[in-house]
Amino acid sequence: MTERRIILEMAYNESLAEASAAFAAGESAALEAAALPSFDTFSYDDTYVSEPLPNIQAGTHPENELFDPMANLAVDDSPAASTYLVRGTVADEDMAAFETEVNRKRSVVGYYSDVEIANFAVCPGSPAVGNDQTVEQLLCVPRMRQCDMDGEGVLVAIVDTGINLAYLNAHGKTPNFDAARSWKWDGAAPAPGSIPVDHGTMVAYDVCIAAPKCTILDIALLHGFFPTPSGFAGAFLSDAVRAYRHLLDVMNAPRRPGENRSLVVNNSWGMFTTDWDFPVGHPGNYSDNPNHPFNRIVATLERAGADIIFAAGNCGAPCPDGRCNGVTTQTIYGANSSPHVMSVAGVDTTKTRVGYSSTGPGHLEARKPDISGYTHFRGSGVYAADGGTSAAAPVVSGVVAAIRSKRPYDSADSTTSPAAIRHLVASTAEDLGPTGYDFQHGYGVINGCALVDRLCRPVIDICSRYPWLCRYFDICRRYPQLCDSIWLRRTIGASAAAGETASMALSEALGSDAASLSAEEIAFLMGFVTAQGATAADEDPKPAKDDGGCGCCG
Amino acid sequence: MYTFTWDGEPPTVADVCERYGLSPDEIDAEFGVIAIDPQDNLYTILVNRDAVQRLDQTWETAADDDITGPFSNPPISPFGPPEP
Repeated sequence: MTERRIILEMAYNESLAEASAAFAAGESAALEAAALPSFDTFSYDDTYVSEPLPNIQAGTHPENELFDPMANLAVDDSPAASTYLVRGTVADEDMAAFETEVNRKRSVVGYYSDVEIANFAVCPGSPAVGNDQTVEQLLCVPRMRQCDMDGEGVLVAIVDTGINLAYLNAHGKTPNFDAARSWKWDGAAPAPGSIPVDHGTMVAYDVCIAAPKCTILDIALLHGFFPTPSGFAGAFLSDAVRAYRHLLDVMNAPRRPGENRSLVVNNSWGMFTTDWDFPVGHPGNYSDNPNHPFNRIVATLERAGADIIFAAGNCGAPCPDGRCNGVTTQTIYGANSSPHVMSVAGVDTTKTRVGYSSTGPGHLEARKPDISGYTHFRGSGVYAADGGTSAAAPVVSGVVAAIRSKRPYDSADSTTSPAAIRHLVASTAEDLGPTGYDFQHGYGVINGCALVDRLCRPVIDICSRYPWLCRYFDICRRYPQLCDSIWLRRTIGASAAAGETASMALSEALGSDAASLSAEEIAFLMGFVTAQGATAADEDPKPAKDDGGCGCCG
Repeated sequence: MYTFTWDGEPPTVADVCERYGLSPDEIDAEFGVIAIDPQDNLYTILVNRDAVQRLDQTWETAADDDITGPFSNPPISPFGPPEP
């Protein structure tokens, strides 16, 4: 059943005037006590009543209207002359009956449609919405840090215009930096990390929102004095092939002490228009051709274990970037739409899609974008707003780096593959727009809070709570899995499915040590672990290895 | 850009020039020979724009089916901040 939202304009009565005053004073259920006509077809929203609307009548001096339209209106703002708006709903199928009913109510002056309204979209040039602290809060960054999701030990390659480390440090971002594994497009170019402040520095800043301890590699691909057709900083796609060759070498080289095997690659760039490409169907085309050399090397790097993040692009309706030549449909081209990458759309800090964010379907894979990231906020200070899907992508890259601190890439473990991480991010996203996947937002906006819930499971501090259980041996140190609520739930569940009792499973887990415990202690422990296991909520099949201490009986 | 497969040790620019009849000034030596998919022994080279037409004709008549191209080499730009 669908409903229509209706506004009723009511004539004055004393209780309605009092309700209006109470609502204006902040009492949200102000309408309850008001004397209002009853309807069979209309349901009041008792949380709303307007302030008095003055009575306005035509005046008596029409000759003045030419010079001052207001001069010919007679306004009476006394309470008794005023009217009041209330609102409510009518079922679609009751509309005809409602109109008959409402026309019989003498206290109803008029009725109107209460249409849904929305903010205008954030467009190029719009002021920033929120700031990077807002983004931190939205991503639950404080909670991420509490469980060591901070990018430590993770390489983040920023494939962009180059970064300026001194600027980042001066603005409160102090990531690790590796000059030796950075790369620049030309030997004569400024040294990586010391490149004049530009787009790449903004991107690095935004990575550091969720991954302040990552290790940045400056892959200075795009350069300001490159003569792109648009006149902006840029490069040719063949330069990107060279940069990716370097990243493959980095990915395959041994890691240094303290680093894990993860590499996150942020790409806040792309091809604005297919005018710059061979036409679709041409064997050398880039936008739609998985065999193009750049699309091939992107797939190779992902297969080697790198998490590759691409901005979706800024060619969305209603307000595309001017460089899109007015094309606003299916503008996620080439590697930005590869099935081997995470393609990122943009939403502002109110979780509203920015009006320029490119929409799917993508050219290489239809289901693009994958995910939305926050953008158009006041952040790095490089620009008035960290805007474009250029900013949305590194916000997501930072979160992925934070995930990788907790779940590093391991070629022997499929649950750590780039595809598994993309699935993790998609499955925890906060759905936006139409229910489920859509071509504006992907699976929704990245949800750091849900990722913390997923990756940082509560630890049962069994020993400090129940030290008597350690009377005979240090149960926690010897059986750390007892502290893992997920392991417990699955073990108990598996044993039940096999027709065993939970106590049998526990006895088996404890082995000969079980003999040291009394039947009462076993029963208590069983009840405890079963209860803890039943309250856990996670789908990760791996027991936690590093989720903190179980406590120790000493 | 062109792609080709090459079994065995990774080729040098000289190896590629010799196999495909390229002169040194027709291939971008700084770009070099890049392995884009080692699993398939697939490499790419960057060829001088002026040479593309000649090479296309040469390779077409030679029926070299292990070399593919030319692939487009479009300009790329940052996606931000968006411009009106």
